[in-house]
Amino acid sequence: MKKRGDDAGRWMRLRAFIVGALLLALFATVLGRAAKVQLLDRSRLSRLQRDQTKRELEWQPRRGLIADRHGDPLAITQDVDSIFADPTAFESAPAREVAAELLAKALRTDRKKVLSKLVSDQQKRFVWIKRRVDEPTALRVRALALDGVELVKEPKRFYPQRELAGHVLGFVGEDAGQEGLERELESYLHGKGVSVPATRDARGAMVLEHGAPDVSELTGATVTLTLDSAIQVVAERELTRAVTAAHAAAGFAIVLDVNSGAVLALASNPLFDANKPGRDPGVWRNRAVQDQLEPGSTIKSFLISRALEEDVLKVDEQIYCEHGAWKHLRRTLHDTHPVDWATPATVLRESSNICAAKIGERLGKDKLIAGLRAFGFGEKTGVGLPGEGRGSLRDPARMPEIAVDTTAFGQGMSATGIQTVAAMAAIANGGVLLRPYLVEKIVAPDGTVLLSNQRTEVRRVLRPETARLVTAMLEEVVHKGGTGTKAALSDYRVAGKTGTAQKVDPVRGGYSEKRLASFLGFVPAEAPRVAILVVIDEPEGKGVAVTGGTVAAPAWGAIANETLRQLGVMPASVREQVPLLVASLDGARIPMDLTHQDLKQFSASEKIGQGLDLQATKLPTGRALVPDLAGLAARSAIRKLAERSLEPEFKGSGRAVAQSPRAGSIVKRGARVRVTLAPP
Amino acid sequence: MIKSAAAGSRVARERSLKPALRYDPVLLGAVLLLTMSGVVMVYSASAVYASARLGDGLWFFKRQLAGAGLGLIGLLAVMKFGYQRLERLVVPLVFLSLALLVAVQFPGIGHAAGGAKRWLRLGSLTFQPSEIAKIALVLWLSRSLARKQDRIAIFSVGFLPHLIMLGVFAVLLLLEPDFGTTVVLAAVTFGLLFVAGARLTYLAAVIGGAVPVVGFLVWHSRYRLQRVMTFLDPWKDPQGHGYQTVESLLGFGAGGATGVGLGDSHQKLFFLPAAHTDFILSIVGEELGFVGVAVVLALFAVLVWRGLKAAHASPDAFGCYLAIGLTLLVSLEALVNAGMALSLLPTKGMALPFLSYGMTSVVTSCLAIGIVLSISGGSGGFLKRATGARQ
Repeated sequence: MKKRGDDAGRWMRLRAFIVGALLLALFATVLGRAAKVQLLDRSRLSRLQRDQTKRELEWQPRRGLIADRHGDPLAITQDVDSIFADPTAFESAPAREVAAELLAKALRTDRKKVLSKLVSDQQKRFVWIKRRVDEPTALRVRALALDGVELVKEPKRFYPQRELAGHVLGFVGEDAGQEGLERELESYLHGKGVSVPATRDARGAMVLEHGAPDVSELTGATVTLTLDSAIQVVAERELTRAVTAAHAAAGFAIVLDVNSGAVLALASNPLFDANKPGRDPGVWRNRAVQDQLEPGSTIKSFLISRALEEDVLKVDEQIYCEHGAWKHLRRTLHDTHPVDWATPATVLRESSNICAAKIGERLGKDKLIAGLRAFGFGEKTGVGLPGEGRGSLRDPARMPEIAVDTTAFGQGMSATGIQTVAAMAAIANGGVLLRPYLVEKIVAPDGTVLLSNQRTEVRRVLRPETARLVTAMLEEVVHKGGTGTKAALSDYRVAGKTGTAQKVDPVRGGYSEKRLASFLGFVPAEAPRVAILVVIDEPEGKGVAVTGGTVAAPAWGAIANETLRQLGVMPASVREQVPLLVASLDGARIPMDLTHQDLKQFSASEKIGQGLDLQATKLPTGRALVPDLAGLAARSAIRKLAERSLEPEFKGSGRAVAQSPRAGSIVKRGARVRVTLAPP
Repeated sequence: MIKSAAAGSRVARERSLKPALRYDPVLLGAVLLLTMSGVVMVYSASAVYASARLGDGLWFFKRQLAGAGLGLIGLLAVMKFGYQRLERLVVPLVFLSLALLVAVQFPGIGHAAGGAKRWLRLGSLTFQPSEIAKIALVLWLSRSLARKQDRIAIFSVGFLPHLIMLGVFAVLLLLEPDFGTTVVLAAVTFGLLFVAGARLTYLAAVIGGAVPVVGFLVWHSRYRLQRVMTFLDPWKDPQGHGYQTVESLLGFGAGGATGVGLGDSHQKLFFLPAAHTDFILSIVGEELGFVGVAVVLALFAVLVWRGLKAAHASPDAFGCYLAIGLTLLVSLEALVNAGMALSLLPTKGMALPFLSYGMTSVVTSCLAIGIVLSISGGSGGFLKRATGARQ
C-alpha cells in the first residue's frame, strides 16, 4: 500500500512537473515571439506605424500687408473657411447622396457637381469641396454638421478698398501674385510655408507636438507704398468722370512728387477690382506704365527745354511758324492754331507743330534724340511694376530727316505715361531727372527693413535756369489764350502742356481719326510739389472736342487742386496775404520760379525775411507764441498762425472751438497747432 | 519587567520562525505587481478613448482601480478564509454559476455586446458570469478528483463525470458564445485529469475526438472561420479583418526593446481597437517595449512556478488539485491572450488576467490567486506522501 502510494505520488509529481514545464515552455514561446516582433521586425513595423501616425502639417504662408503711405491697408490677408470632405466617411450611397444634396443647397451649386467630388476619389480620404468661401456659406455648411464634411481656415487676399489702385496692386492667383505689385514683390509678400510634425489619430484628428507656428513666421513682409489713398481716390474719380464724359475707351492719370520721385497716385480706367480679377487681361493692364503711346504735343516742353539748354534757341527769339501750313521735305505740316511769328513761349502756348519741327531741326538728330534720352525717354524708369514699357526713339544714325520733325511734336516715337510725367517732374524740380518709385519701404515681420526707396537722381537734364524759364513758359499755356486754360486753378499757379496725339491705326497703317488727349503739368508753378499727367484714350468726337485741353485739362485741374489740398499746400492767395508763411515754408530753398513777375516776389520775400528777424528779437530764437484762435474761421486761423511761423492742422469745419497747444504757450517755431473746428 | 519583555520577544520570534510564513510572499508580490501595473496600463490605454467617447478620461481607470481594490480585499479574505472551507460551497457555487450562465440568455437580465450575450446587468454595473463559472468548475473538478483518487483510472467514475460537467459548462458558454473561455476550461479540465492520473489513452481519445468537433464549430461559424483565416495571414487584409492583429503588431514593433515611454503610445489613439481590454499587452509592448512584455510574462511565469509550489505544499488532494487547476486557468488565459496579441493564435475575446480592463475579470483573478495563496501556506504532504495520506 505504502509502496503503491509512493509510486503514485512520484507519478503525480512528475505529471505536475510536466504541466508546469509545458506552461513555462509556452510562456517562453510567447516571449520568443515578442522578441522577434519587437527586436527583429522592429524597423519594418515601426516604419509602418509611423506612416499611419506621423504627418507633416503644412501651414500656408500668409501674404504680407500692402498699405498706402499713411499705413491704410490696400491689400490684406484674412482667414476664411474652406470646405473639404472625406469621401470614405459616408456609409452608403444614399447617405452620400443626401450629403451631396444638402451641401449643394448650402453652397448654392449643382448637386451633381458636389456628388461627383464625393464619389470620384473614393480611395482618397480628402477632397476639397470648395475653397475660400464667404462667411454666410461657411455658416450654412457648418450648420449642416455633416459627418465627413469639415471646414478649415485658409488665408485669402482681400482688397478692402476694392477698385482703389487695383492696377497697381494687381492680384493673386492660386498661389502667387499674378499682376501688379502682387507679382513684382512676390518674393517679399509671399511669406513662408511651414511644415510642422504632427501626430494623427485614427479618426484623423491631428495633434501638434510642438504647437502651431507663430503667425509672424508665416507672414510675408509689409509693403508701404508711396501712394496716398486720398489722392488716389481723387485721381480715379476724376479720371472716371473724364473718361465717361468723353465716352472714351480708357485713360490713366499719374501724380508724382517732383522733389522725391514718389508716385502719389497711379490710376487706370476702366477700373479693376482685384477682389474679382476675372479673366480679361486687358482689364488688368496698368496702362500708365505698360502702354507705349505717341505722346504728341506734350513732348514740345522737353524739346524746347533741350533747345534752350543747348543754346540753339533764345528765350525771346521769334520763329516763323508759317501761318499754319509748311511745305517741307515733300510733306505739308499743319498747325491747329495758325501762328506767324512766335517766341518759344508762344510755340508752347499755341502748340505749333511747324515751329516745333523747326526747333527740332535746329537741334539736329543727335542732340534731339540724346536730349529726349536725357529726359528718360527710351529707357524704363524702374518704377517697380511688372511689364513696364521702354518706349521707343529713333536711332539718329538711321533716322530720315522727316522723323526729326515728327519726333519734335511727339510722333514717330513712343513713351509710357510714367516716363512722361517723370520727365515733366525734372523740369518742375529744377532740372534733375528722378527715378519714380511706388514702394516706400518693405519691412519684414521682425522689423528688419528689407527695402527702402528714397529720392534717387538719375541725372541732371537741365540747368536750373533753363528749368525756370521753361516753367514760366508752361505757365502761359494755362493763361488766357493758351491751349490748357481749363487746367488753370483759382488758388494755385499751374504750369503744363496739352497733348492731342493722333493714334496710329494698327490695321491700315498711318494715322486714324482716333485721338489720345492728354494734359501734363505741375503745381504750384512757383514752388512745384507735384507733376500730374492725365491721358484720355479715344475720346468721342472731332476737332476741339477731343483735344487734351478740352478732355484732359479739366480732370487734371480737379486732381491737382485736391492733391495740393491733401498735401496741405497753401493756396497762393493765402500766401500772398501772408508773405511770412512763404518765407517760413520755403525756408532755405531759393524759389526756382525766376520769371519776370516772380523776380518781384523774390525780392519781396527777402524783405519779409528781415521782418522775421525783427519779430524774432522779442522771443527766444526759434520760438513762437501760440495765438488765441477761438471763434476764427479756418482761413483767419491759418493767417494768424502763419504770422508766428506755426503750422496749422485742422479737424472738422466751421469756426475754431479748441486748440492745442493753448493760446499763450511758447513753442518751437514751425510747430504744429491742432485746431478743432465746429459749425457755428 | 525586563524578563517578561525578553520572554515576549522570544515568543514572537519563535512564532515568526516556526511555521515560516503562512502565505507565499513571492506569489503575493507577483499578483500585487500585476494588479497595480494593470491599473496603470488601463489608464494609459483608455484615457484618450474614454475622454473622447465618455467625456471622462478617468472612466475606465476609476473602475479598474475599484476592481483592483475589491479584488485585493477579496484575495485577502479568501486567503484568511482558507480553501478547505470552500469545499462545502462547491456544489452551491456550481449551481449558482450555471443559473447565471442560463440567465445571460434572457434579454431582460442579460446584456449583449458585440454580438455576444456574456454579461448580466446589475444596476449600473455589468457582470460576467463566465468568470465565476471558471472558478466554480475548477473547484468542482478539484473536489471530485480528490474524492475519487483511487478510482480516477476508471472511466465511468474518474473520467466521464468530469467530461459531462465540462460539457454542461461548455454548452452554456458556447451559447453566449464564448469559444475562448470554453477552450481554456477544456484545457484546464484535461490538465487536471492528466495530473490526477487519468488514463492517457482516454485523454488522447477525447482530444482526438474533439478535433472534428472544434473543426465543425470553427467551420460553422463565419466569424470564427474568418478569424482563423486572418490569423494565418493578417497582412492580407490589414484594413479589414486583419486590422486588429496588424495594429497590435505595429504597437509591439514600434515599442522595440525599451518602448516609447509610458503614456506615449500612438496605437491607443483609436488605431488599436480594444486597446485597454483584449489588446492591453500591445500597449505594454509599445510603451514599455520588449522589456515590459518580458516582465509581464515573467510575472505570469512566477505565478506558474509559485502556483505549482503551492500545490506541492498542499497537505491534501483538494488543495493540490485546486492550486494546479487555478494556476492552469490563470496562466492559460494569459497565454491565449498574449498569443493572440502577438498573432500566435487567432483573435479571441480573452482578457489578460490582472492587466485587461474588466472588474469581474480582475476580481475573479484575484480570488483565484487568493485561493492558491491560502494553499501555499501549507507545509506539504499530499504530493510528498502521495495517496496514503488521504484522511
